Amino acid sequence: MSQSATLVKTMRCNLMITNKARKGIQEWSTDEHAFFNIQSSFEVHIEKRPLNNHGNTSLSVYFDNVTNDKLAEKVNCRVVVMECILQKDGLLATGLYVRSPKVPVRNNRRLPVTLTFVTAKNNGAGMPLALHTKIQDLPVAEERSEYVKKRISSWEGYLKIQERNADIADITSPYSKLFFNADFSRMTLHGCTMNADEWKNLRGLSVTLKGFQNDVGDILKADRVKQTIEIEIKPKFRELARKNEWNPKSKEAVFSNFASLSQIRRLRKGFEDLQNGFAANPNLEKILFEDRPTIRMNAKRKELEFHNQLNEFQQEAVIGAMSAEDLFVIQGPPGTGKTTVISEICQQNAKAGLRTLVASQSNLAVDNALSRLLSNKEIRILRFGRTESIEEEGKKFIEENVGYYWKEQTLAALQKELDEHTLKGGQLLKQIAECELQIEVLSKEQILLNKAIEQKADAKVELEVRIEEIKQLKKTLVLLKKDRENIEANLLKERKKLETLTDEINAMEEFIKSNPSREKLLEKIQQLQIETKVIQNHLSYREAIDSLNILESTMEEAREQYESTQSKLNHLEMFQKEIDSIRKIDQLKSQMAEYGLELSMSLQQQIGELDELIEHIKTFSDWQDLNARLLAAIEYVENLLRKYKFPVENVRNNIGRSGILFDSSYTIKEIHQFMNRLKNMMTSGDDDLTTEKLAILLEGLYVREKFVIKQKSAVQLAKNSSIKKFQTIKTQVISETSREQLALQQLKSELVNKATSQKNQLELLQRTVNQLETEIDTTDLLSTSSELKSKKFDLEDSMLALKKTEETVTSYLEQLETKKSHLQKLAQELVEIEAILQENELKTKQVNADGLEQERILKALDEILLQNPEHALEKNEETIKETNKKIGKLQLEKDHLPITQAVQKEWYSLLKEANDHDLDEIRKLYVRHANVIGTTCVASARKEFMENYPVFDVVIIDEVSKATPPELLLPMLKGKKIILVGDHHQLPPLVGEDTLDETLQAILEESENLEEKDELKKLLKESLFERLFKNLPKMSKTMLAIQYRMHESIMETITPFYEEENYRLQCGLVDSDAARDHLLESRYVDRKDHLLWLDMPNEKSYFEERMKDGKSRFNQAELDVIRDVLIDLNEATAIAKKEGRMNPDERKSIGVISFYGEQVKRIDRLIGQQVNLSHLTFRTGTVDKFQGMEMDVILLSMVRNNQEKSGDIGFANDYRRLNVALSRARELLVLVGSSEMFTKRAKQRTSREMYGRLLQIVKDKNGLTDPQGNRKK
Amino acid sequence: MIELEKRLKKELQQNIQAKIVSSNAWTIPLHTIEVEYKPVKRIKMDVLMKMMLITCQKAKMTSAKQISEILLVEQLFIEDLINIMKRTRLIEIKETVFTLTEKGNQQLEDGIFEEELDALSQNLIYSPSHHIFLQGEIKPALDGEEALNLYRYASEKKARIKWDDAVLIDALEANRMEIGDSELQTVVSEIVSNSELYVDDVPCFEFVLYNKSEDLLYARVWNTFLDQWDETLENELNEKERFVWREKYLKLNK
Repeated sequence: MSQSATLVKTMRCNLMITNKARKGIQEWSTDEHAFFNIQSSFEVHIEKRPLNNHGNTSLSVYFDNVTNDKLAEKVNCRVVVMECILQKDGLLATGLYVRSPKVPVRNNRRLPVTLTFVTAKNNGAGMPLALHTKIQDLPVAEERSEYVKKRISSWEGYLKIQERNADIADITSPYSKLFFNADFSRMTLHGCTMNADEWKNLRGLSVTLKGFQNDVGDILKADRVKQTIEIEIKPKFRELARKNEWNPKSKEAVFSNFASLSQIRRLRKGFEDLQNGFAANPNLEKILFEDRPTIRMNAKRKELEFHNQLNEFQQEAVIGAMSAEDLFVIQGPPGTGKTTVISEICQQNAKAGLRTLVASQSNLAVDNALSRLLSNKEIRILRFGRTESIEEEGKKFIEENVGYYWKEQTLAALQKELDEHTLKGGQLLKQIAECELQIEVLSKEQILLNKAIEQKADAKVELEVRIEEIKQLKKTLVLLKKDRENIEANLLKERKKLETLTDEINAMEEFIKSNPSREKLLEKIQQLQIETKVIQNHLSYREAIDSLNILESTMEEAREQYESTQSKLNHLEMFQKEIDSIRKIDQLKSQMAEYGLELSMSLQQQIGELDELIEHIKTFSDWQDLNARLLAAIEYVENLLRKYKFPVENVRNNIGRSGILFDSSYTIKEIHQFMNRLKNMMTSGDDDLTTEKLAILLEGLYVREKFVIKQKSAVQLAKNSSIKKFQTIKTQVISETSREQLALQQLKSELVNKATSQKNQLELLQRTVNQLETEIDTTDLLSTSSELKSKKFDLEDSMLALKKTEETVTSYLEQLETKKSHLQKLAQELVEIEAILQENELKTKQVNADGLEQERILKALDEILLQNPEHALEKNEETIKETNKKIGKLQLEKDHLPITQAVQKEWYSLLKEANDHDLDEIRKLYVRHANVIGTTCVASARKEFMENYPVFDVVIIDEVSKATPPELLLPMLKGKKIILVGDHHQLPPLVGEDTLDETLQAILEESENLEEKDELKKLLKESLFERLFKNLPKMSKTMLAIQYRMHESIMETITPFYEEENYRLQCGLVDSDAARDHLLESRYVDRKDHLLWLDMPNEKSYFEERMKDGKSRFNQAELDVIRDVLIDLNEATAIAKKEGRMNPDERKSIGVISFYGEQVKRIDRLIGQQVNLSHLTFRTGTVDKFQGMEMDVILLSMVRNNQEKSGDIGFANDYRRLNVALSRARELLVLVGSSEMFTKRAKQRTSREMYGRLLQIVKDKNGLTDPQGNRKK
Repeated sequence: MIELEKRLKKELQQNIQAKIVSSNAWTIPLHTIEVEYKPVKRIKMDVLMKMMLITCQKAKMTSAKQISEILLVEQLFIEDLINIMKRTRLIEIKETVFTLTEKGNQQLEDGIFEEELDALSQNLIYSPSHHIFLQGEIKPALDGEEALNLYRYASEKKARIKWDDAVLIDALEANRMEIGDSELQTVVSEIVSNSELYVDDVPCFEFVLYNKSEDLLYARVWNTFLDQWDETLENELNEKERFVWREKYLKLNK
C-alpha cells in the first residue's frame, strides 16, 4: 500500500516457463510470448515463500489487477498469480493461475516492481542485480505473518472479555406490557419469560420488537425476579412513542447480540490485516510489538507557522508530530489543550495537502475535537458515523449536512468580501502606489549596485598588483633575514675571540707582575747551584766511609768460615780410619754423632729397618719357652684322652675340619692365657669336662703349637737378614763421608780466593776517603747520607722551578706587544659589524611595515570582491519584474473590479437561495476532498468507510488510554503516520460500568482456566499507551505540561500524579483568582475558596449503604449535604446576579459526580425532583463517565464511610479515578466525604497516603469544613 | 373530549409503576398567519457549476485559481468541475480563456430560466408556547373545549407580529410537499405579504405522574393539535413545578 514510493523503474527480466505454467497460460493466450506481450511491462508484487524441497527460493508474483489494464481486461479484472523459482539468470515460472478479483495484490511483505518479461529463448536478458538483491532482502511472507500472529495473540484476552457474552444465539421472549419512562428515553418490558441462562446474558443486547423492522434500542437492565427488561430507546423510536404510534401487533421481543458480534468481527479483522501486512505503515507491527522499536524520524525538525495560539509544550507537540515519520505520542494531562494541538496538527496537515483521520474511542471525543477546529476553507471536515450517535457539535460535519456547512462558510467569506467592495478600489490603488514606490526604491538601489560592480572590477585588477607586491616584499624579507642571521653569527664569533684575547693578555700581565724580575731570578739560580755542589761532596765522603765499614766486616766473616771447614775435614779423615773396626750398629751411630756427621735420608731409613729386625730377633727365646709349655700340655691331654680311649690321631689329622673356628694369629700373651685357662680347668676337677671338650681343647692346642713353630722359623730368618743389612749400611756411610770431604775441600779454596779480592777493594776505598777528607771540612759532618740526599733533591726542584719561571717571564714579555695590537684591531672590526646589523634591522622593519600596509589594502579589496552586487542586482531586477507583474495584476484586478464585484454579488444571492438540490454536487465535491475525517476507532473499520478511505496520511487517535489495543489497532492500520494522544494517569477503558482493570479482576476471580488467567494478567500489566510513551525515544513523544482548566489550587491536587514525568504540571492561567473567580459568596463558599472538603464524621448516621440486589452503594448523609450545598449555591448565584457580578440569564454549570452509580442515580433524582435550582445548570455522572468533561463547579460525593475492619474503599483506591474526579472543575471543587475513612481507615497504605496528601492540600487552603460548612482547623 | 381524556388516562394507568396524581386540561393559543408568496419554477442545476458558467461568461477566466479567487471556493472543487464541464463540452479553452460552448450557453440559459408562477398563499400556524411554527391542522372543536382555561404560562409569551421573510420562507419550505423527482423544482422566490388571521385555542391534557419505585414525579401533556405527547410543554412544566408537586402531592398522600 504505502510502498508505491519504493517502486523502481521498469526492469527487464528473463522468464523461463515450465510446461505446467505454459498450460496455465494457454488457457488465456496462445502461448507465453503472446501472453506477456499484451503489455510492454507489468506492475507486479512479488511475495517470497519458504524455500522449496530443493532449497530454491520460491516466489509468488501477483499481477496488479487495476494498473495492468490490458491484462485486467483479458482476465475480467481477476488477479493473475504466477508461481516462480528464483534463478540466477531469471525467473522460472512453475505455474500460473487466475484468482478472484478480491485476492489482495499489495501488502507490506511484497515487493512492488514494474517488470518487462523476456520470454524468447536464449535472450540474454538475465535478471538485474538490483532486482535480485531486493528479492533476497524480502522477508518470507508466511514467517513474518506467523510472527505477527504470535505476538498479536497476546491481545486475544481483550476480545475474550468482549466475547464473554457475545457468543449466544438470538433470544426471543414474549412480554405482556410495555411502559415508557418520563422522557421516552427508556422503556420497560414486563412479563418477560426466558430460561435462566438467557436472563443472565441479556445485558447490552440490542432489542427488536415484532412489528418493527430495525432494532429499537439496547438492553440496560434485566430483572428476572420482576420479569422486567429496561431498554434504552433509539431517538427515532422515541418520536414514535410520543405520538402513541407504538402499536406492535404481537407482543414478542427478540434480543440479539448482532452489534457486539459485528464489532468483535471488525476487531478480529484488524488482527488479520496486521498479520497479512495490510497496515498502511509497514513499520506498525514493529512499533506495536518490539520493546524498543526503531521509529523512523525526520532528522530535520519542521519549522512551522501556527494557526492557533500555542504554548511551548503544544508547539513542541505539533512540531514533533509534523516531523515524525511513523509515530508520535502526546501525553496530555487534564486541561492541557490536547484538542488545540489536534486541531493545529489537522490544519498543518491540510496545508501540506495531507488527509487526516481523527479517531477516538467515543463519539463525544471525536465531536469535541472536530468542533474545535477553526472554521477554515482549507480544512474540510467530515464526520463519519451513525447520525444518531453523533453529538450536536459534530452533526454539521456529517455527510448530509456538509453542503450546508460549506454554504455557511462560503457565504460568510463572501459577505466579508462584499462588505469590503467599496473599499476594494481604494485598496488596490494604494497597493499599486506602494508597488510603484517600491520600484523607485529598487531602481535607486540598482544604480548603487552598478557602481559596486564597477568597483569590484577595479578591485580585481588592483588585487593582482597588490598580491605581486606582497610577494616581492616577502622575498626581500627572507633575504634580509638570512643576512641578519649571518651577521649575528659573525658578531658572536668575533666577540668571543676578543674576549679570549683580553683574558690572555690579562693573565700574562698578572703573571709578570706577581713574579720577581729576570735578573733576580738568575742570581738565585746561581746561588742554588753552589749550594748543591757542597752537599754533593759531603754526600760522596759519607758514602765512601760507609762502604769501607761494610767491607771490613765481610772479610771477618769469611775468615771464620774457613776455619770451620778445616775442622770438619779433620773429623772426616779420622772417622774413615776408624770405620772398619766398627761391628755393631750402635757403635756406628755413636761414632758418627761424636764427629758431628749427619746421616743421609736413605741411610736413616735403613738404620730404622735394622733396628726393627734386631727387636724381632730378641723374641726368639720367648717363642722357645712357649713351645716347650705347649708340647707338655699336648702330651698331657693326649694321654688323658688315650686313657679314655679317644682316638687322638683323628684330632691331629683333622685339624680345622671339626667345624670350630680358630684365630689365624696369636700373641705370646694370648697363648699363655689360654694355657692358664686349660690348666685351671684340669686342676679344678670340673665335672663337665668331657672327652669331647677335651678333644676341642686339644685341637686348640695343636693349632697354637703349629702357629708357634711358624713364628720360631720366622725369627730365625730375620737374624740372617740383619747381618746383611748392617754390612750395606757401613759401605754407604763410607761413600757418603768421602763425598762430603770433597765438597769441603772445594769450599776452602773458594774462601781463599774471595779474601784476596776483598783486600784489594779495601785498599781502593781507603784511598778515596783520604782524598775527600782533604777537600771538605769534615768537622761539621753531622747529617747522614739520606738527609743529605733529600736536601739535594729539594735544591734541585727549586732550581728547576725558578728556571721555568724565568723562561716564561722572558717569553711573555716578548708576546705581550703583538697581542695588544691584535686586540685593538678586533675591537675595531666589532664596531663595524654592529653597524651593519643595525642597518639590516632597520631595513627589515621598513619592509614589514610596507607589507602590513599592503595586506590591509588587500583585505579591503577582498571585501569588495566578496560582495555579490551582481546577484543583488539580479534579484533586484527580478523583484522589479515581479513588482511590475504585480502592478499589472493589481491593475487588471482593478479593471475587473466591477465585473468581479458583480459576479460575487450574484454568487452570494445565488448561493443564499441554494437548496438541497443545488448543493448536491458541492456536497459530493466536499466529501471527495474532505481532508479531516472524524470517526470512532471501531467505526473506522466499517466496510463502507474502508472502501472510501483505505489509507490516511495521518491518523490522530485521541483519548488513547480509554481504548483497548484491539480498538486502537483499527485506525492505526490506516495511517501512514500515527499520532497518539492520551493520558495514562487517567482512567483505562471502560467495559460497561467498570474499568477494564476491574472487569479483568472479576474475570480472573471467576476463571479457573490457568492459561486464560495468565493471559489476562498480562493484559492488566500492559497499557499500550503507557508502554509506548515510556519506551519511545525522546524525539517521538512529548507531554503537554501547562493546563488552562483549573484554578491553581485545584490543579495542585493532581500534580502529585504527574511527578514522575519529565515536566511538572504548570498552571497556564496568568491570574488564577481572576480567571477562575466563581463570583459566589455563601454560607459554604467564600469568594476566595476554590477547594473545599466537607468532612463527614465517621459515625453511624453518616455511613454508606449497600443496594440489596447489587454491589453499588449510596450515602444518604452525603446526599443531604449535597442538597444543602446546591440550594446554598443556587441562592449565592441569585445574589451574584442581583449584585451585578453575573448576567441575569447566566447559569452556573455544576457537575455532581460520584465514584458510585447508585449515588449518581440518587443525585439525579434529587436534582430533578426535590429541588428547584433555577440559577444552576447540571450535569451528573460517575467519575468514569465524566472523563473528558469540565464544569465551573464540581461536587464529588465520595460515598464510602464505615467502620468495618476491611477498610475497603473500592473504586476510590484507583489513583487514576481520583485524578479524573479532581480535575473536572474550573473554579470550585467541593469534596463531600469522610476524611477519617479515606486517610485513616482505608486498607491500602498507598490510598491512605494519597488521600492524606489531598487532605493536607485542602487544609493548606483552609478548605476543610464540617458538614454544615463551619471551617475546621 | 372526555373520551379522549379517559383514553389517555387509561393508557397511562396501564403502567403499574406510575400513578396519576393529578390531571388537568387547558388550551394553548395558536396563531394562524396567512402568507402570500411568489413561487418560481426552475431547472435543478448545481449552483456552483451554474455560477462558474456565469463567471466564465462575464469575465475572461484563464485558470481555476482565478475562478477560485473570485468565488472564494476551494480550487480543488473548481478544478474538478472544470474537468466535468470540459468533458461534457459545456466549456472549452479558446486562446487560454475558458469560453462557453453553444451547449454551455444553452444550459446556462436553461439554468437561469425561471418561470414565474402566480402568487400563492398559505396559512402558517405559530405557537407562542413553543416559539415555532407548528405543522398540522386545526381540527374541529371538541366537546366542552370552550370551558377550558388558557395554559397557565401562556400569558408569559407574547405573540410576534412582524416576521422576517427568511423565517417565513423556511416555514413555507418546511410545510411544502415535495414535488416529484423531475428536472424542475419550485421554490419560494419572494414573500408578498403576511397577515395574522386569527387565534385558535387548542386543548391539551395534562397529567402528573408519580413513579414510586424510582421516586419520580413527571408531567405528561397530550397536544391535540400535534396529536402527540408534547415534549416542550412537559419540560416546561417539569422544570417549573416539579418542586411544588412534591410538596403538594406527596405530603398530602402521607
